[in-house]
Amino acid sequence: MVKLASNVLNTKHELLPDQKMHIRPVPMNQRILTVTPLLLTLAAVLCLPGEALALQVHGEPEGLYVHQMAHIHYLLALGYFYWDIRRTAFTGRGWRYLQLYCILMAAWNIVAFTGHAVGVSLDPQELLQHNGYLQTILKSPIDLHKFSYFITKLDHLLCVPALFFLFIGMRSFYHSVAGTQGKRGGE
Amino acid sequence: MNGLPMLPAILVDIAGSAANIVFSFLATLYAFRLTRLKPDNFLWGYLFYVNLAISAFAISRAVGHISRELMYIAGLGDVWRMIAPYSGGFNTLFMISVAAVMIFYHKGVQAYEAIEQEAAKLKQSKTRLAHAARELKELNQNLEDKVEERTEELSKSEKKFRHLFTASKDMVFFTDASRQIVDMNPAGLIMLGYEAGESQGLGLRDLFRHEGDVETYAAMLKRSGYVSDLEAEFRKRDGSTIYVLISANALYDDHGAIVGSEGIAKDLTRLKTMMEQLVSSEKMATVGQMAAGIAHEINTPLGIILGYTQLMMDDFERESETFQNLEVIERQTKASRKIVADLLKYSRQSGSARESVNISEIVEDAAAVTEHNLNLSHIKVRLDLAADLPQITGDPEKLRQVIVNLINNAHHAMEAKGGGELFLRTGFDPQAGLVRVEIRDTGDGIPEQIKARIFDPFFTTKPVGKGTGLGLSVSYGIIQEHGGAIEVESPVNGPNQTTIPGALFRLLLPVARETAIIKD
Repeated sequence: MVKLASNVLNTKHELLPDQKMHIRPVPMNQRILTVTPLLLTLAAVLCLPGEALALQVHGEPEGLYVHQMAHIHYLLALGYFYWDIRRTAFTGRGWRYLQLYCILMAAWNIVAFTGHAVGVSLDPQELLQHNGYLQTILKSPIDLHKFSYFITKLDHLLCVPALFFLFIGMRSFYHSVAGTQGKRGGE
Repeated sequence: MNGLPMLPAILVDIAGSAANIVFSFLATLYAFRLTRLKPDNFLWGYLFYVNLAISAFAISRAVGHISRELMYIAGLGDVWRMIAPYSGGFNTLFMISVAAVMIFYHKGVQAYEAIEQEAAKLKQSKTRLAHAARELKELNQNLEDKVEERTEELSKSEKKFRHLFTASKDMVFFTDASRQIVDMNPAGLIMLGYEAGESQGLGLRDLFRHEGDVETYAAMLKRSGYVSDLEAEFRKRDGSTIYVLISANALYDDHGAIVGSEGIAKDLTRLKTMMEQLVSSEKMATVGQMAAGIAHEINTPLGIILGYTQLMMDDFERESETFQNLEVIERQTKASRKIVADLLKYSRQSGSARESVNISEIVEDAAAVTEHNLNLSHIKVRLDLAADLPQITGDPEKLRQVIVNLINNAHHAMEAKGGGELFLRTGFDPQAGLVRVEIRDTGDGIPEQIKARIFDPFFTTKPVGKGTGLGLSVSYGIIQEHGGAIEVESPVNGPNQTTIPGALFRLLLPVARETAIIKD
């Protein structure tokens, strides 16, 4: 790494003798002549914008897409993390809990992704409130679409255990390290 | 109207949202405590941020859901519809954040692993370094102890061997590859007559009397690596010789080449002299016995020859040729009888008187008898006779014969040089109880190679007809008969380790028993 850095430095700051021969300083008045038209054009654009149409408009569904893409991204990251833990072959209970977290959280991502997709396509008329929000019901008949909507609403049944395993995983790491240090201190 | 009530879904939504808030808060709390426990650990830091994002998402969503349910219950549906886009927006934002944080896990773990590996390596290196340092320290300590111990042992050993080197009564010497003496102990220097420090520049060639012995010494070292019991003669500083028995070992370098030698030389001069004297005594005793037997056997026929010759001489005229021939026979027979008589004296078979004798008087008489002849040969007699010598017991005639014989020998030794001085001296050694008579001449001395044979019967250096070779043999026999001894020095040992040319005969005779008692 250091070698590479030094090579980079060499290419930036140290020129070979034949390279030095080709460099000729540009006269100051010639530079001003080159830069001035560019500056004038930039000033005209800023002062007279008209319909520039330069900025992209982010419509309503974009937030959902981004969120869904984030789920996919999170899913892939969890898969990669899980694979990497196995590859690096760290042993111990903490690492096993961390792997369980990855599996459950990945499953949650799939559920959440499905839930968002189902939720968007569900007609709001299918949810009825008789006596306040808590009395909300999903109208019959319950088809696969509606059942999926209901089931995916229970996504916490996956993400809570996932975070629980993360917690006991961290606790396991802590006790393991604290135990080792205690032993060393005792020695 | 029939339908599926949504109440369970509403209740699960509210309770689930509340539970989500609790669990996400607890998870984040433990993740935070982990980071406090291990602030440098990347992994726990990362998990804390994941939890933070998850909590933000869960709380945002839960709050939104609870708010919606409560507002709908309260009949504020219109208000909720106004808030809903914001709540949904936050919800989406936090969900994306959670996903984004999770994706970075891979790179984070890689970095963490790399750091951990480096840290482990560093830790291992540190441990190894500490271990090596500890070992080095121990090794150093051990080394110091060992060096101290070895130095002490070496010092003791050096003292021991130095003492052996300096206190040895035998010569101990070291040579280099060119056979030069590198070091020699004091006993060796004394043996050779050198002062301390004078061994510098001395080589084995200077020490060995015979060149061949140096080569023998070197050849034995080269062949066997040692020299065992090599008998050799060493040349002293004054040129005299000592007999030595050499044992030596070769010294080698790392490549096995000889770089010198270490040797011990034992002085055998005294032992050799004693051995020679012993051999000589044994030889003389044997020769004496044989001579006595021969003399007895020859004496009788000689007597008969002489008797018959004299009888026959009465029968012939003096002027006749036969009478003259008989005279020759008589003369030669008498000469033969004298030789036989001398042989008997040497073998102590002849009779002798036993009386108290003052040896100084005997010496004075002998000097008086021979002085005239000595003067004719330009030999001056120096008398140094002790006046109050104790008496000895012996035959004065035989003792006089011994002294006259020794004076005659001195005369012959100096006659060839055209003169000289004859020193006659008597003395007494009260410690040994011996009376001493010394006869010293200033002649050429006795050659080393014949010194051991001069007392042998019939050994003479005079021309044929001039001497019988019995003079010293007879003298030796007479002195032995008196319980004394004859010593010879040639050259003569002078004062302060100097030598005087010539020869000295020393007679040692025990004092008479009565005299000894009186003296005691």
